[in-house]
Amino acid sequence: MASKIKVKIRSFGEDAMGAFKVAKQRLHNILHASEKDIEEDPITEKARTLHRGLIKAKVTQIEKDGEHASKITFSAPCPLYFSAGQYLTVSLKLGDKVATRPYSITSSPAQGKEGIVSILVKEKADEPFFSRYLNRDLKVGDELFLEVGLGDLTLNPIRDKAEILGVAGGVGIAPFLSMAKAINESAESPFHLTVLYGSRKQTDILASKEIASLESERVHFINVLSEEPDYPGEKGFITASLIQKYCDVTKVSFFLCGPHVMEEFVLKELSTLGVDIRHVRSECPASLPLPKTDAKTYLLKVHRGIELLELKAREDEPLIIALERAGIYVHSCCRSGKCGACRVEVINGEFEENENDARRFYDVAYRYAYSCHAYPRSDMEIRIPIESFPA
Amino acid sequence: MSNSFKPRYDAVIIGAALAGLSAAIELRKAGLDVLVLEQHNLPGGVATSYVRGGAEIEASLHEMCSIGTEQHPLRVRQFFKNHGVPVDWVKIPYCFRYVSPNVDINLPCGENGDFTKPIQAIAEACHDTDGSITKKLKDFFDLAHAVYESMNVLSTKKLGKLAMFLHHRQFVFTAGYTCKEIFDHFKFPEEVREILSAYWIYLGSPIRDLPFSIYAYILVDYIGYGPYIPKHTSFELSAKLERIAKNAGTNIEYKQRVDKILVEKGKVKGVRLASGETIETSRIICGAYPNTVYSSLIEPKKEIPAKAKKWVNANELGVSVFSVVLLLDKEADELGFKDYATFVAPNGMDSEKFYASGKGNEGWEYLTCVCPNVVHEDASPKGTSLYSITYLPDGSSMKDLSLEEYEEYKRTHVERFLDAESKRLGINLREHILEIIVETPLTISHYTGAYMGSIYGYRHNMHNHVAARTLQKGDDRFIDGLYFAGAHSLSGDGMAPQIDHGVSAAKDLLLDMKKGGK
Repeated sequence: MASKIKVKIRSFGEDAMGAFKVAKQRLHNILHASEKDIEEDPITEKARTLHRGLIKAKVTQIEKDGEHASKITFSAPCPLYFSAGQYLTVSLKLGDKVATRPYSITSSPAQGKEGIVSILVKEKADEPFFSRYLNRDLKVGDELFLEVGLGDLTLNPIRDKAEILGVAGGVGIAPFLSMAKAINESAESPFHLTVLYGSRKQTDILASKEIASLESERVHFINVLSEEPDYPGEKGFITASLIQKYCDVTKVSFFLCGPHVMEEFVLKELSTLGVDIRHVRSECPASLPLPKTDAKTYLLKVHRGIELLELKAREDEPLIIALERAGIYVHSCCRSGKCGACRVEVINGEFEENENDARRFYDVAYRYAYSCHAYPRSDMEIRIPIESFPA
Repeated sequence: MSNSFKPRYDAVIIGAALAGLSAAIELRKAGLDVLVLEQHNLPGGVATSYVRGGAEIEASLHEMCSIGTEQHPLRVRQFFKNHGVPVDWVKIPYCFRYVSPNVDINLPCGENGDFTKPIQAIAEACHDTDGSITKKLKDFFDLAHAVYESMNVLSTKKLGKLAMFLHHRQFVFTAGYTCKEIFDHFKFPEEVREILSAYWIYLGSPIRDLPFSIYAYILVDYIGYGPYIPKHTSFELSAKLERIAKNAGTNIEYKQRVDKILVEKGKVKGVRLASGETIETSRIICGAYPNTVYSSLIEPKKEIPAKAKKWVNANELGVSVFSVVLLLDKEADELGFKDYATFVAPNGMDSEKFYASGKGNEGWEYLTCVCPNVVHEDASPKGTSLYSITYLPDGSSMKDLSLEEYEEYKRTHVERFLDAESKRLGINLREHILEIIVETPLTISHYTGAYMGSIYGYRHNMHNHVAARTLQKGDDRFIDGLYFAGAHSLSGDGMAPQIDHGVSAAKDLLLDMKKGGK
C-alpha cells in the first residue's frame, strides 16, 4: 500500500542511485580511514582514578583520644579524592576473615590529594569487635585496605544555603571536622559553619584540641553538655531554643551526624520551629540490634558461581556478618542498607530488611537483599557475586 | 584461582546490559552454555536507576519507542510478553513540547501510525492559514511511514535489487538524501523545520548530514506510535530481561570486569578478568565499544588487525550526556510542571551549533528537560517531584579536564542550567532542591566503562548511513568468534534497538557455529 506513494526528490536517476551511493560511501570511508592505533580511553581512565575501589594504605599515626577513642591517620601511595563530609571504609583481614566498616573522614580533601586521610574511631556497644580492634590493637605501620570518597553528607553550594548549622553527637563530629578544614582552607568557599556538638560530659568530647584549632571567622564549634550541670557553656540537650540561639532557622541548611536517638530528638525540635525536615541532611545510622543470647540460627546456602557453600546465620546478625564469619568476602560500603554495594540475590527463604532500606522497586519485587541490612528469618538460599579480597 | 567458574564456556558475553542479556537469551534457546560477565553489580548498563531521598530515579531513559498499545503491540512490548514477563508501560501522551523564540508547541503523538493529531498541532503552531503546510506534512509523514515500513522488512531479510525497487521504492529513492534535502524538497517554513528537528539531537549529526532514512524511521516510531516509559524506570527492563535470561539458565556473574580478550592467530581463545582469572571460550559477544576492544582489551596487541583500526577510525563516536537531576520539595503541579519532555531552544533550533558547542564547554543552551511525575504521579514520593535537565556534549569535551577541575566543571554547567530553567519556568529551582545528582560522561564511564562515556554509539551521517550499515552487516568482525552488540552496532543507540542487536549478534554466532560444523 505504502509503495503506491509517488516519490521524486530530484531526478529518477539521482533518486534511484541514492542507496547505492551511500553504501559505496561507507565502504570508501572505511577503506581510506587511518590505520593509526586507537587511543586508550582517557575518560574511563579518569573515572578509575577518581573511584579507585580498595586501596592498600598504611597506618602512619594513632593518637589516643581518651580511653575508648582514637584518631587514626593513613597514608596511601596515590591521591585520595573525596569531598568534605564523606566517609571511607576500612577493610581488615584478621586470620582468614575480612571485615569492613565505614568511618567518616576527619581530614581535609586537600590532604587527601597527598594520599593522607584520617578517621575518628570510638568503641561502640553495638559493634564491639571492629572498633575495639582499631582502637586497641592497631599499630603504626599496619597495612589495610581503604575505599575513599563515599556517602553524600557533603556541602553543596547549589543546593545548600551559605550558613550551615551542624548538629553532632559522639563520633558524629567527624564529618564536621573535615568540612571545617575545607572551609578554612578555601578562600572561595561560600560557607559559614556552626556546629552544636552534644556530649554527656567534658571527658566525652572527642577531638577537642582539633576543634579548638579550627575555630575561625567562618567556623564555630559549640559544646553542649547534657550531664554536667556546672559546665559554664551550653548545657542540656540540643533543643529548639538552643538552635534558635545560634541561627536564623529560615536562613540555614541543617546537617546532622550522630546517634539515631539524637537524630530523632533534633528532627522533632526542628519541626516545632517550622523547618521542613526533608531539607535536613542527616547521616545517623540506626543502631545495630544487640546480640541475643538465645538467637536462632538458620542454615544459609550460598551460591557463588558454580560453588555451593553452606553456613550458619544468626537471626540477630545481617547476612553479610554470617558470610564474613565464614570467611566469605562481600564488598560493602555504607553498612546501613543505603548504597547497595553488598546486594545479593535471594533464591529461597525469608528475611527482613531494616527500615532505612533503599532498594529499587524491582530489587524488592525480585527479592534482592542488601546483605548488610537483611536479617534471616528462616533457612535461606542466596547467590552472591564472585569476589576475593585483594592480597 | 577460584573454583567459581567452569574452565570453559560455549560463549561469553561481555556486559549484562540490554544487548548482552538479549543475546544470552537467544544463545540459551540454542542450548549453549553461556556466561555473562558484568563489571557492575547490577544488570542494565545505563538502563538503570538509583535511590535518593526515597525516590527511585531514572539514570538515562527519557522515552522509549517500538512499544505500541496493548491491542497493537510493537516489537519491544511483544518481546517481553512472549517471554512471559510483560513490562508495566506508561504511555506519554505528548511526544514533546518545543519552546523557541519562533514557536511553542506541545506535540501530541499519533495513534497506531496515524498522524492526524500531530499534523494538526504542527500546522496550528505554524499558523497554517491556507492549509498548505498541512498538505505538505501529510505527504511528508506518508513518505516517512513508507520508509519506516521498508526498514522494518529490510532489517529482517535481504532482498534483491528488483524487489527493492518494486516494493521499497520510497526507501530506496530517499536513502541518498539528508534530512535537510527532504525538508528543502517539501519547502517547509523555518518553524516547521525547527519542530521536525527538535528531537533528533542524539543521532550525532546536524540535519545537513543526517540521513533521512534513520530520521524517518524514528519519526514514525516516535511520533506515529508514541513514546512510553517503564513504570519503575528503565531498571524494570533490565531486571525483567535478567529474569528471563536467568530462567533460561544463563550464568550471569556481576562485579567481573573483563581486562583482556585473549586472541591467538586471529581466533578468540578466552577472557582474562581484572581479578586475574582466565576463562576459556571461542566465542564472545561484546558490549564494550570496538574502540575499547581494539585499544586496550585485545591480548596480545599484535593480534589487533589493521583493518579493525581502520574500521574504528572511520566510525565517529556519538555524543555523551551531561545531566542534572533534581528531587524537588513540591509536587509537579505545585511547581507548574505540565509537560513530560520539553526541548528548550532559547535561540532557536540550530543543529550545527548544537554539535559544535558540544565539542567544548560553552554554549550548552539547547536543553532537554523531563518531569516524569507529569505522566506517572508516583515517580517520586508524595509531596515531591523529579526534574532533569540535559545537554548532550561529546565525551571528548572532558578529555583535557583535570580531576581537580571536575567539581568546578560540574558546578558551572549546573548553575547555568538551573538559572536558565528557573528563568523560563518562573520559579527559583534552587530553593526547592532536596537532592541534586549530576551525571557526566565520566559518570557513564565509571558505571559502564563506555568508551569516552559515549551512550549513543556511532554518529549517523551520510558516510555511515544506516542502510549501508545494514547492507554491510558483519563488517565489524575482524577476529574469529568476536561479535559486537550494543549502541555501537547497526542501527545505533536507543534501548529498543539493543534488544534487536543482542538477538542479531547471537543469531550470527549460531549461524557461524553451524557453518563451522560444530
